[in-house]
Amino acid sequence: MSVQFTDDLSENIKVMQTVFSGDNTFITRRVRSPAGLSCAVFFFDGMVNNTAINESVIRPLVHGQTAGMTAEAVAQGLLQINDCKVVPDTDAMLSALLYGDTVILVDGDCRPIVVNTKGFSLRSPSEPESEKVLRGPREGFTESFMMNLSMLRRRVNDPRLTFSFARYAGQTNTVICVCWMKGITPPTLVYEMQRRIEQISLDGILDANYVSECVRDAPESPFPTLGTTERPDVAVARLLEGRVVVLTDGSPVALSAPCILQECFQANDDYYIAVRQAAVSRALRAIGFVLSIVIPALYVALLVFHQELLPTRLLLAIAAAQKGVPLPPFWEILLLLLVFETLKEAGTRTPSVMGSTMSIVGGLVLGQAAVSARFLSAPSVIIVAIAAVTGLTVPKLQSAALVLRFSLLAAGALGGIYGLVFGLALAVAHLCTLRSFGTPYLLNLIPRVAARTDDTWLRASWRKMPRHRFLAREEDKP
Amino acid sequence: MKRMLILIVAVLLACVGGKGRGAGDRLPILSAGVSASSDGQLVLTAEAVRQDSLEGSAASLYLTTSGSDPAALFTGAEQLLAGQLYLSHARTFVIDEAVARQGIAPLIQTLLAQDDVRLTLRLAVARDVTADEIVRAQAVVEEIPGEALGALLDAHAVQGGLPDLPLCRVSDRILSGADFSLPALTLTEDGRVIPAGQADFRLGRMTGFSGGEGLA
Amino acid sequence: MPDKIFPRGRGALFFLVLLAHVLFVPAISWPSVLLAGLFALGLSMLWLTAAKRWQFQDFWTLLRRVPGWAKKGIGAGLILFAAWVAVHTAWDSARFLYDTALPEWSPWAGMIVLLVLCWLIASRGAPALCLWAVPMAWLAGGIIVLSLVLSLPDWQFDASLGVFSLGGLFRPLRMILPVTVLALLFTGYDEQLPQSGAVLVGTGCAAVLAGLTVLRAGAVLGAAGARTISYAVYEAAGVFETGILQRSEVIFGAAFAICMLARIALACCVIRRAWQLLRESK
Repeated sequence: MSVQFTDDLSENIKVMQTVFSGDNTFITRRVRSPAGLSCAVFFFDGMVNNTAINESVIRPLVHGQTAGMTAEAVAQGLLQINDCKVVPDTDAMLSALLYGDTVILVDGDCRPIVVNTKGFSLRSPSEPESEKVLRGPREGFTESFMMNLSMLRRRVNDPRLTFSFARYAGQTNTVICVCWMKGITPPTLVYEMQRRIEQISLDGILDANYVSECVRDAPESPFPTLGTTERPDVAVARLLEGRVVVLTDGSPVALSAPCILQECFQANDDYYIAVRQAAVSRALRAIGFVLSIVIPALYVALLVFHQELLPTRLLLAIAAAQKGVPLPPFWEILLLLLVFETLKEAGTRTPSVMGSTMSIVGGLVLGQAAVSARFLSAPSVIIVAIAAVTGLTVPKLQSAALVLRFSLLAAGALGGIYGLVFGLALAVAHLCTLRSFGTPYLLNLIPRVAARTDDTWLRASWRKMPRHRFLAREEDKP
Repeated sequence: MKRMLILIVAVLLACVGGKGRGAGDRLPILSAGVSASSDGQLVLTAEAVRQDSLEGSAASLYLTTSGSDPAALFTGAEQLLAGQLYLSHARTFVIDEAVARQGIAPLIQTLLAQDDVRLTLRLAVARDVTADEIVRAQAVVEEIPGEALGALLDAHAVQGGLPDLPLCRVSDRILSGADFSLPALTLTEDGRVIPAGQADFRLGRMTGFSGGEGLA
Repeated sequence: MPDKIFPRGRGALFFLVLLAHVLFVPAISWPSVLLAGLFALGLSMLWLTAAKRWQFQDFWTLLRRVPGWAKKGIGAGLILFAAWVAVHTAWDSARFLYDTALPEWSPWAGMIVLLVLCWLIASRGAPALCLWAVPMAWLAGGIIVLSLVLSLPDWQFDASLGVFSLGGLFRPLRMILPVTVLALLFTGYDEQLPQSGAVLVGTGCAAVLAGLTVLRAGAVLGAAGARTISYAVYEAAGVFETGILQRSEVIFGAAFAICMLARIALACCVIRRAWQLLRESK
């Protein structure tokens, strides 16, 4: 939208009112001082700090001692506010106005003054629901962009921390900030992130995921190739490791790149609790993930193809439990997994007051009834329950676990343990080709392939971790 | 390409997954024995085991078939079951003295030809009783007689009281023409199975028993 | 970081592809199988020495010095050779799976599935294949070593086990040499990432493990017994039990299935690279 101002204030007011005609929140306040200074103040109701406008903008203008002042003179000598400037670019002026700033037009000057009077309501920082910790900082990002940046700046008291802003996406004009540490983050990584963000062509960005889907590598892979966090301490840790962090206005989620598989097994408080405890927890998470994807497939493979591997007593017990059940093991497990995923999906969207009722009805009553009615066998319910519980140990890989669980189940049903092994081999082959912003996805995990840290499957002590402990460099030798 | 792959996998699953066996579809055989009948035929007695409910205990079933040679015995058993004679869980195979004296090489070859037989299957010779009686004898401690029989032979093999010669080694001894011994088993008056020395073999034929005199 | 093959990945690939034949060799003589592995090791060392002498990174860089018409001939020959190795290995593997565990899958269907699967793995290129080989080698090697260790109480040695047989050498050599040649095509001299150590370790470990598994087959089944059983190496693994699983030859077989995948994928990789060469020389 293009706006053209002239030196005539009345004309300019008409232009502004035409642009925002029909918008009841658009306020125009005409001010005339006894000395003859004539101005118009424009702002949006609800987006501004009223006290700042009254005290620092209207009051000085009303008491203006000189008539015919220029926009610069008003901004420099009259307004009593910390951030105000003359913005001849009317597109930038409109964008600022829509974002809670106040625009002042002075009679006799076509250039608008933009005053920072943002004052919209904000959520105060709280601990993110999805990233809770046992011990450690409990502050989380909010939807307020500047507040998020301040949380980073407060933690990194170093001039090398750099924020680079850009506005993208047609109609929402959302601000995206690329943050990095000069001298630590490779410049090529920053350039690549900026290049990919510039290529985004969406009509609006309402959340960080819009950016994530547009800039990540291998968008069809179920494995995350771009890190996400709602915690400033985690974002800062990633900055210190030489990664790039991207903040999106209006979203409490910070993106980070590159992202490697290893970080999916890390919990937020891994580095805030005792090293041994963290190492054990991390190992349990990895085992939990593997069990979660393998157990249903292994159960089906053993029952359908390799009953000879089961001890006689176990085989007899399973046979007794399956007596009268009409479905073969594969369909039993498939059905149960689908029910579990549906329950999980329903639970995610259900208000918390109904959540406990739903889990009782969905999980306990349905499961018990299905087993009693001989519709499903008890071992199948146990197997799916184990897969479900162990799958929750690595929340960042839930989507990958879902895809792998079903794929490996199909592979196990088709080819037994051999099918399962072939499926796993294919999954590892996929992981071997994945890269995140040029960094191999399996960095630090496959033994000695460009690893440059002791912090791998198990957490290493802080004393043993070198300063630059993440990004692989060209000179890294395996 | 990707859609085609998904379609193929789905069709395969519908075909294979739907026909998938459950744990109860096959009757595991825990022990078996070959006896010689009066008319010169071979008789196979197999102890199968099934459990109908989680609360209940496992129950043994006995299948009997006869045939002129070992291969016919297994074929007959499969016809009786209308399915596979599932020997994967079998731990013990008892041979009648009369059958052993005729030579066990054909029986061993037939056993090895069954793709689910364990190579650690233990062979024993029934002494003064038939193999059928040994297989049908009740266990004292274990609820499944076949398990008890397997445990008895394992324990004595480990302690050195009985020869430790599983199926794979028996085959090797026969093929290499070496002499060997197999454990001998008999029944007490109250119907319990006990070790009764060993049966000695030369060129795959039993030559006689040694040790264990007075046990029965 | 550019795509490069790390020495460990190369060593792991050698380890996997040089183990895959063990399931199919008759368990006649373990020294022969060991010797066949050592022969592959010697061949690899010879190639690496030549690479150092003439300073070439791999066979493909060496081909740059060759005229276009010769390149075409070599490329076509390599495609045929690698296709033969891939199909042969896939057929052997599919037959093995059909005979031992998956009677539902006809060998033809199994072979096609294996070829498609390995083509998918190979389509990611030789560096990714070598990277993939690292965890796979640990997994397969771990299972094989575990099976050997756990079955130790069942080993029985006699004099007939140590016999060297020329006939026993021929089959492993016939199975091992083509794939050694294929693996060597991606191997050469690299000053920054010296490869000889990793190739030596990978090939040496494969030779030793191959010898040990054949020795185990003889020691468990007896020298005469092992000769009569098809897939004796596999069947002999049935004596080991892991955790709640009894007679775990399928687990052991799965380790070799990985090796077979690696071998077929390597052949597919050569086909892709040679095809690329043919297109470049047009």
